[in-house]
Amino acid sequence: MNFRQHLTNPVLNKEFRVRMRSNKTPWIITFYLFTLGFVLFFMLYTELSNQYTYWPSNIYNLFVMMSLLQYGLIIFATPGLTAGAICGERERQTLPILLTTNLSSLQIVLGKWISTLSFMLLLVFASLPIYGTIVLFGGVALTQIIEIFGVYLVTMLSIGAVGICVSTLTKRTGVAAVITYSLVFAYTALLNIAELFLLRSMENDMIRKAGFGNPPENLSNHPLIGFLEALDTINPASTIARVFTKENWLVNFRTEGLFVNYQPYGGFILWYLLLAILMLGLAAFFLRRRYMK
Amino acid sequence: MIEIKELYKTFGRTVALRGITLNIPKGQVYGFVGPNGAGKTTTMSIMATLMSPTAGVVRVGGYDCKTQAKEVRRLIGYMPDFFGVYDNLTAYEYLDFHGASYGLQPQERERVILQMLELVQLTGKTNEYVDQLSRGMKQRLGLARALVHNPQVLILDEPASGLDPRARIEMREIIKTLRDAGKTIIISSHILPELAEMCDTIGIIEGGELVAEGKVQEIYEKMRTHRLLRIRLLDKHEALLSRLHDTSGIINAVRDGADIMASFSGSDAEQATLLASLLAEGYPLVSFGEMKGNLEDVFLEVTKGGGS
Repeated sequence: MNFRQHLTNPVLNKEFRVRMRSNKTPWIITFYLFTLGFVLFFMLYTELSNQYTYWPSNIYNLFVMMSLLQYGLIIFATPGLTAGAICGERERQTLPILLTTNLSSLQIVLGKWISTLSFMLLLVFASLPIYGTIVLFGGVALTQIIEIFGVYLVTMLSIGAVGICVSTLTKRTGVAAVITYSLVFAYTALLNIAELFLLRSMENDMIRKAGFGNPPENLSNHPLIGFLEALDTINPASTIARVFTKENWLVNFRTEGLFVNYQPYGGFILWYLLLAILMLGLAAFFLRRRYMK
Repeated sequence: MIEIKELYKTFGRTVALRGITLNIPKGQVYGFVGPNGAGKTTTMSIMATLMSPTAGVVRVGGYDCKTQAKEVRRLIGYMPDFFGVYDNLTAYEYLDFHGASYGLQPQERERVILQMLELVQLTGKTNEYVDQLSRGMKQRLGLARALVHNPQVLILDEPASGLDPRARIEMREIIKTLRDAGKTIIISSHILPELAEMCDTIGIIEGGELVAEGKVQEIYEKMRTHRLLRIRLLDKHEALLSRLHDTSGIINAVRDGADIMASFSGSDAEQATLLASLLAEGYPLVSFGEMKGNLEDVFLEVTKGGGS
C-alpha cells in the first residue's frame, strides 16, 4: 500500500459521501452550533446588559466557560460517532463483504477514524465564529485559543481511536458507545483520584520525615515527584486548567516553586497521540481476528 | 481451482464441519446442497477467508485460505447469504467503492462498472440509491459487486434466497452467463431443481459431512432405491391393483384417479417384462411409464430430514 493509496482510501471517500448525504448531519451541526451559540449569547447578555462598561476578565471567564462546554461536547459526541464505525458495518451486514476485499485492516480502521474525526473537526471549526465573538471583546490571548484547540484535537484523536478500537471488539453499537463513555469517564476520574491520593501520600511522607514541629521539605525532593508529574501531564483536567490559568493545577497550589521548568503541554499532546496510535493498531490487529473466530 | 482436504470446523463444543473433502476444477459450477445448519455457509466462509478452519486445508487457485488470505481475496468474488447495502450511495457509487477497494484505477472502474450493470440488467438504475432498490435488484447488484474485480472464482451463498420466481429466473440466467464465461462457481441453494439446471456437479452436505457428490444424474441414480411407475388404463383398476400387489418387485401400488402409481424396485429388464405381461393379460393400458423423481426427492432421501 503506497502513500497515494493511503490518501485515496476508498473507505474514507465512501464515509465522507455517506455521512454528508445523511439527513442527520445538518441536524447534528445545527444542534452543536445552536448549543454553543445559545450559551454564548445568553452569557453575553447577562454579562453586558445593564452595564455601560465591561471588564475583559469577565469576558475571559466567558471564554473559559465556552471552552469547557466545547470540550464537554467533544467528549460527548466523539464516542457516539465512533462507536458505530465497525459495529455499524457488522449490524448492517456489510462487514463480511468489506473484509473479503483487498483493503487491509489498517486501511479500513484509518478510513473510519479519519472520517469521524473530520466530521468532529468540521463541528469544531464551524464553532470558530462563535469564538471570534469572544475575541472581539478582548481579554483572551491567541496562544490560549491555539492551545485549547490543540487539546480538542488530541482529545478527538485519542477518544476517536478508543471508540474505533471498542467498536472493533464489540458487536453492538450501543454497547460500544457505553463502553467508550465508561472508559473515558473511568480514565478521567481514576487519574484525578490517583493524582490526589499520591499527592496526599507524598505530603504525609514529607511531614513524617521532617519530624514533629519541623517544616517539611519541598515536595520536589520526594522520589515520587517524577511519577506525579507524569500523571499530571496526561491529566486532561490539569492541562485545560493550565491553559486557562497558566499555573500548574492540583500540585502547584500546595507546592510553590514546583514545576518551574516543567512544560507539560507537549507531553500531554504526545501522550494522546501515542494512545491514539496504540488504539488504532489494536483495532487493526483485532478487526479480522475478531470477526473470523 | 478449489481444493478442500479434511476440513473440520468447531464452534466451542459444536462441530460444524466433519472432514469435508472436495475438489472443484477450473470452470466448473459446483452446487452445494444441504439443509439449514448443515455447514454450507461455514464452508463458504472459510473459502472466502472470513473464518479459519479448525483443521484441514482449503486452497483456492493454489493459495491457502488461512495463510495466504490476501492472494485468495484477489481471486474470489464472495456473495454472502445475507448482506446489507450502504444508505445514501447510488448503484454506481456502490460498485465504484468496491472497485476502488480492489485497487482498480478510476478509468478502469468506470468501464467495468458499466459492464457489470449491464450484465445484471441494472443499467437503468445506475443513479438510484441502493437502499431504494428491490430485493431482487439488490441481489443482482450484490452479484455485480462480487464481479467488479473480475475474479476467477465466485462463491455464491444462496444467491436466490428470498427472491420471487421472476427474480430467481433472472439470477439463474446471469449465473449461466458467468458459467459460459468460464468462471469457477460454487453456489449453495435450497432451490434444488435450479441447481440441477446450472451445476456440473452437486455436493450434498448434512451434519457437516459431504454425504453425496457427483453429477446430478449420477447422484440421482446412486441414491435411487426404487422407481415410481404411473400406469394409466381404461378400466380394470381394482384387478390390476391386486395383480400388482402379488407381483415381485412391486413395493406398493395405489390408485390415483384414472392412474395407478406403483413403487417398483426391479431393473429395467424386469420393468419391460412386467409391461409385456400386463399387455398379454389384456389390461387396457393407455400408458405405462416411469415418473422422474426430482432432485428434491433425492435431497430428502439423502439428508433424511437432518439440519435445523
